[in-house]
Amino acid sequence: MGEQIIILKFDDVLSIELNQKIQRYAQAIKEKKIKGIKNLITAMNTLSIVYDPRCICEQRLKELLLKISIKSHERNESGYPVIHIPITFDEKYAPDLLYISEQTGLSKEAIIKVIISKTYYVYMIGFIAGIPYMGNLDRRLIVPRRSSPRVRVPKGSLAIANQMINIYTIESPGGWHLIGWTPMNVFNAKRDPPCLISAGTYVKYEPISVQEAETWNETRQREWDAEWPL
Amino acid sequence: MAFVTCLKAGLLTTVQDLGRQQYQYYGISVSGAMDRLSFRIANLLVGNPENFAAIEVAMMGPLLQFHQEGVIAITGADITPKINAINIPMWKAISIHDGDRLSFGRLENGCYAYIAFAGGVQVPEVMGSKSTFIRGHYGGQFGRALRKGDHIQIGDPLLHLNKVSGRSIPGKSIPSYQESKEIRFVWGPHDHYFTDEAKETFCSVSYKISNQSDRMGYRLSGKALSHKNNAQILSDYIAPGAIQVPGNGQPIVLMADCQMSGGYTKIGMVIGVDIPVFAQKKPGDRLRFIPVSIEAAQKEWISQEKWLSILAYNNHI
Repeated sequence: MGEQIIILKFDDVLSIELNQKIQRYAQAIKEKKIKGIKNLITAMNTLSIVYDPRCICEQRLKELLLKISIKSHERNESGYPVIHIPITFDEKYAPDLLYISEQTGLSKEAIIKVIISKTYYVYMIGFIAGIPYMGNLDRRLIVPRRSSPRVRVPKGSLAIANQMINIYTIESPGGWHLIGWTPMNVFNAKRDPPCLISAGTYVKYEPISVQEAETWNETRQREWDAEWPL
Repeated sequence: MAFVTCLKAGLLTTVQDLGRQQYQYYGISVSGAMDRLSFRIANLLVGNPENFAAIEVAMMGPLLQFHQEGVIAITGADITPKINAINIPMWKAISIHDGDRLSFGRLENGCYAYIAFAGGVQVPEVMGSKSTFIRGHYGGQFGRALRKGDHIQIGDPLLHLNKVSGRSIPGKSIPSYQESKEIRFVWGPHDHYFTDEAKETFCSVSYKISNQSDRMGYRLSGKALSHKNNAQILSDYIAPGAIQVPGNGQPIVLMADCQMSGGYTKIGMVIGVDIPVFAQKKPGDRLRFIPVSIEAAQKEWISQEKWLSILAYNNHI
């Protein structure tokens, strides 16, 4: 893409295994410390390399990249950190649960049960403020995006569309279906790194009551962190 | 530490630097100056490193009052800048005095102008940058555009003011925006998603910048580009300069505040040296796209950077 970015495209599929391979490949490139590489950005099935054409030409960089071998699996799934996120599924914060229920034929309770029974893999962090793209959603819950996006989606909304589940990290427009809300701050511009969740990690959702969500504070967050250490 | 008061805000006046390059991995928009070349020149003229925070002005300028002696330089779009109601030259380091007022008049050409202050604008850094990102409410002056009544802090100049005052860049080196109606690009990564006819159309007809254009992206209108099959891909990395074409076939060129991922095909990418030229186009302007090779684009980039490093060298002596 352009004269300063190389995009390596892997198979055209959404697969956890493939994405983990891309994460490991990015790590291997980082370790080589190739002069001229300014930035490495992983996405669902691509790895983008931003480089300085004053230090290295496209051809030479491609040659070096092809020489890098990816180390085989070092850690299995249980070796990756799992981040536990409190979610309230109260109607007030889940305006689209009814629609998902109508579309899938599952009751609201059944949908929540399906959502919380799984650990989700974080494929990438993207959009505008560290939005984690997590998958894969249970097949029974797959519904396309809303035909008309909402103008305002509240910060902290848990949302689904197609095979993906995400959390809106700042208030923004959005076309995903809102099924819950977290009081936990998963994105904080003043923190470094700003995102609590990073690509290649796992996330699990823990149901909490609406009262607990609305009275969430720093003390409760510290208790939560102690309960679910990373 | 000096300060400047904002007496009138203008259309969209924001604090910017060169943005948050190193946080793209975290899905953080790069932000920063729309026309990075003019921005960098403005800083270098006043004796700053090229990344110091400065003020970006969009089409309609603010009214600012200075409260101490200093040196400023104005580059980018020509919005008829004036000190105490008298026109001043652009692309030149100019001395200002306590009580002076900087105002703007008619937009003569371009879209974004830059005001750099010797010493730079002082605001807290957020994720390594002072750039304002309005949608995220962070960076710059309280995460928002400047407002009437704001006090903008200016740092201490790095070089003696006498040394930088009066500096200018040669006329032939001043970027000209109104003349260049041709924007060069490199094909890909998804040009093979388009029909041959669409690719030919893209390089032969002119496109108009639509009114729905802002710091996130410029929407273009012109002959629609057809995809062979579909316009959707798995969500992928995108960057300022990428030319995205959604299902309706009308291209959108992503700009400084763009999101970091997108699920639409990208027919090409505007080359580095032409992104500033493109950024200076405003709604209603027409332009054409010319394909070039990666090698040609790199050559242009390297020669631009060489020229800037010579300019920067003057600040080290």
